[in-house]
Amino acid sequence: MHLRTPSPHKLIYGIIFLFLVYFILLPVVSIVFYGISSSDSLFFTTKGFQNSFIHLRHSLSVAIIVTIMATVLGLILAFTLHRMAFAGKRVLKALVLLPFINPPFVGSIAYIMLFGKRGLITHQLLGLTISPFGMRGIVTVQVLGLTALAYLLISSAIQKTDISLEEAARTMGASEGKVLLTVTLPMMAPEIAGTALLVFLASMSDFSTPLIIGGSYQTLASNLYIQITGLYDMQSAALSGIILLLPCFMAFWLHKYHLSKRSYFSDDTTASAIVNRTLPRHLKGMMIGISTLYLTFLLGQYLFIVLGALTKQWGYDYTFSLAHFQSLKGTQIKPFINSFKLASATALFASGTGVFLAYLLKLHRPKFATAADLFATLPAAVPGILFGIGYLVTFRYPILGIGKFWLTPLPSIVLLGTKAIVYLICIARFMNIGLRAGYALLEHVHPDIENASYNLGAGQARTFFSIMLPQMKSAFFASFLRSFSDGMVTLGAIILLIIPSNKVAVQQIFTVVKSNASGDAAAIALLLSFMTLIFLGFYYLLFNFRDVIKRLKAPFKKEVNA
Amino acid sequence: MSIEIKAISKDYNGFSALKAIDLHIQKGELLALLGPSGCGKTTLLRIISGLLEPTGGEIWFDDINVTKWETQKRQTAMVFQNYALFPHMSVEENVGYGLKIKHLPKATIRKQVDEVLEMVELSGMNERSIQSLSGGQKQRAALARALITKPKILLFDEPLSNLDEKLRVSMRQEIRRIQQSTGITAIYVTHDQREAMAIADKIAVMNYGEVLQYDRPEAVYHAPSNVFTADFMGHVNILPLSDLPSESAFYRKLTAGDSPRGKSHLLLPPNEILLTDADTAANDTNTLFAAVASRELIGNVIRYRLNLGSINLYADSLYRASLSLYELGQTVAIDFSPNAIHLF
Repeated sequence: MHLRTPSPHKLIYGIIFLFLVYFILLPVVSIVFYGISSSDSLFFTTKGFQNSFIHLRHSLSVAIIVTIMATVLGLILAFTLHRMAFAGKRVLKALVLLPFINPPFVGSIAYIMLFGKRGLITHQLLGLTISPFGMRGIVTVQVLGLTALAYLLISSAIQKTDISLEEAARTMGASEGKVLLTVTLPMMAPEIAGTALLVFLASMSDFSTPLIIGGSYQTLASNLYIQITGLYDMQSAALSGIILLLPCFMAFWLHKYHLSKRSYFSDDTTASAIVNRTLPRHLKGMMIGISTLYLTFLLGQYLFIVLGALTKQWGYDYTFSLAHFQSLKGTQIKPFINSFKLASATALFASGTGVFLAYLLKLHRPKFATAADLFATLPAAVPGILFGIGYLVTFRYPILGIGKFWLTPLPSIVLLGTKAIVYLICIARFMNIGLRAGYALLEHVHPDIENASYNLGAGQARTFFSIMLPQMKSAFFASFLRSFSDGMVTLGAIILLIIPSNKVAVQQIFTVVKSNASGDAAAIALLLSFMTLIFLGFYYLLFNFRDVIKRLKAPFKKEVNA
Repeated sequence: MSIEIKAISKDYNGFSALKAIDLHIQKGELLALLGPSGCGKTTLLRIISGLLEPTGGEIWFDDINVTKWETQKRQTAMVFQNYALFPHMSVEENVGYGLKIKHLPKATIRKQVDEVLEMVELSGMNERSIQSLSGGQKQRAALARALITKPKILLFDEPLSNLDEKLRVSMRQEIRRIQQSTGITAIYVTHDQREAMAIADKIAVMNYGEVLQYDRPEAVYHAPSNVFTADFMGHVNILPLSDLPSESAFYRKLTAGDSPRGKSHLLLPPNEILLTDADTAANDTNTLFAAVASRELIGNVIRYRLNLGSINLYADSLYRASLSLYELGQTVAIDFSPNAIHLF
């Protein structure tokens, strides 16, 4: 569908496109060039090369195990909570939403508190002082965290499946197991595979968990951090980065161009209250058991975070104390303000441009639309820390990076080391959230409504502001809330770019966790997620102001009418 | 197989979707469940198939109480409104599904698929994907998939409502032909009264979870037992007796054939009313006059709306080029046979 494109639209599209090329494409390409153009790096020693492949093996082993476990658990959870009737289902359904207010590093902190050198289980119960850090810890923590992601994605797929297909199979005599294997699962296969790929990407990108509880077991992503901050070897980092990029790009490519094309779902099926009543009892019991066990672990994490924050010194002195919160007073309030500023500003810009870009690409199909879409979604495939390294190698040079080629003697206007770069990278990273929200919304908006407005005599400006903008509002709000909560806890992309004056709260937690002060870390993490929740609520009220006022007024109105 | 529905009821959180339904369906019969959306017809169909559990009552197939049986055991194949074909399988895989889950040998499945595809006139479409089929072909494939399991009972849930008018007519004839040649007892849910009359041996008219009339199509159409059925079957001249002045010539003529005692309404089909010019009609006290209020062309029929005092009446006359039409406001004489009146 081709529509007349107003010229301001074209101008803004041009600016957004430049931004995409400059702040997404260029940094990613730079990593590759920077990596292969250097021959004097440590990487090319046999040992460097070997190390990288050990890390790749670690990354892949963890990612594959985590992907399988988290996807299977997510499937079990989704089926249990959406397709079975049992007592206490409501409680479980509410609990499974907990990761939405996930304090950062909650899994790692809890793991240290339980299994660390002075952990509750390893030291207090078993009397060990060994360090059980390593692969098992990373897998445990990632599975706990990523199962929630898998559950959410698969739930939306389950809710969209056409129930009459399963009923058809049943009326033909297929048993419940047969129905599941021959109809339900094959129908959901694209979505399940898509979920697995996203879990895989998330696991590959996670650099903080291996750093905190991996011990000597480091992955590619965590090793990147060590190479930059410890060895200052940016070239080796860029080379390892390329190795990390390959599997990630492959997963991303499979997801974007293969799976999303073969979806079987129709829009008009409503299947909210489906219950399998003929499921074998032991199977049902097992599924409920597994779900409950997972949620108990999830809940346990939070419990230990709270306990840790309120204990004098975990591992040594288990008396109640508010010391961890008191130590937060005064000097350490600045990172929280920085976090809030960063999350708000980037959510605003990223969501605004993302949703607008979706509108332009979907309804106006401008030139290079496919390229723009690809660039904007690329950050979803690039692990945050690697994206940060891309910025590091690109924007070290004057005039936003291009100065490298002819202004080498001039050290001024270097983007790196300013506050702006952190904002820019977050906008670049979060824009695809807005883009996807916009696409999802525009699925239900017919291109002709714009034409209808023109046909009724409205000008281009009026059409955009009074017809299209109100339509896109809800996508913007959804994207803003999502970007904001992500922005409050984002670390990978910005950790290498941040300067002391705009230190953020997550970074604070990260530093504290690494130095093994789990009580302090727990206190800050709790505070941060509490703060995120409050501001999310605040923004939610702001966006739905009219609704909220209406609802508040409603009871009074009724009285007047009566 | 005969079906006995005994006092079946279904409640949803205090809302009664079905109120103690009793029906008996003979072996080899096709019953149409007819009613507006939300009347409970699909709920009843699903209870018979075992996809839904009734709140109360019993379902019997022949001499067996199957109320507690699960769907899989009942051998009731269902044809769904949205076809419910498996999108990840080809036509052959869809149709052969019911046999494959019984672990029949591949060659047998293949042979039976070919046979049943021929029956529904889809021969040679075995390898086609579901997405490449037209609406009518999807419907045939869905029917083939239901037939291949040799079900004891065939259930149709508004199977033709997604097709256009012409295709609907030819498909319903085909469904009827196949149902009669196989002799499978069938239940057919629809909201289209013409479809129900065309296809069914018996019609059960439903509204608000109750069966209002259960009879042969002719009886349901010509002798409705209640206002809802009369209206739903498409009748227009449904007159409440209380609205008619009992001293009038019109009333006397209406009730000349049958005693109105104990009846509340009467039905006067518009095609039974004969119109003549007021001038040529014999002008005695028994002649009825009415004024033309409007007229409407429905294909080859002209439908006049007449005012007879305060009563609105519709009269149909066949359109012919040689016939002159009555103009608005013109007075006409009306006549009808008292035998054409149905009192209820």
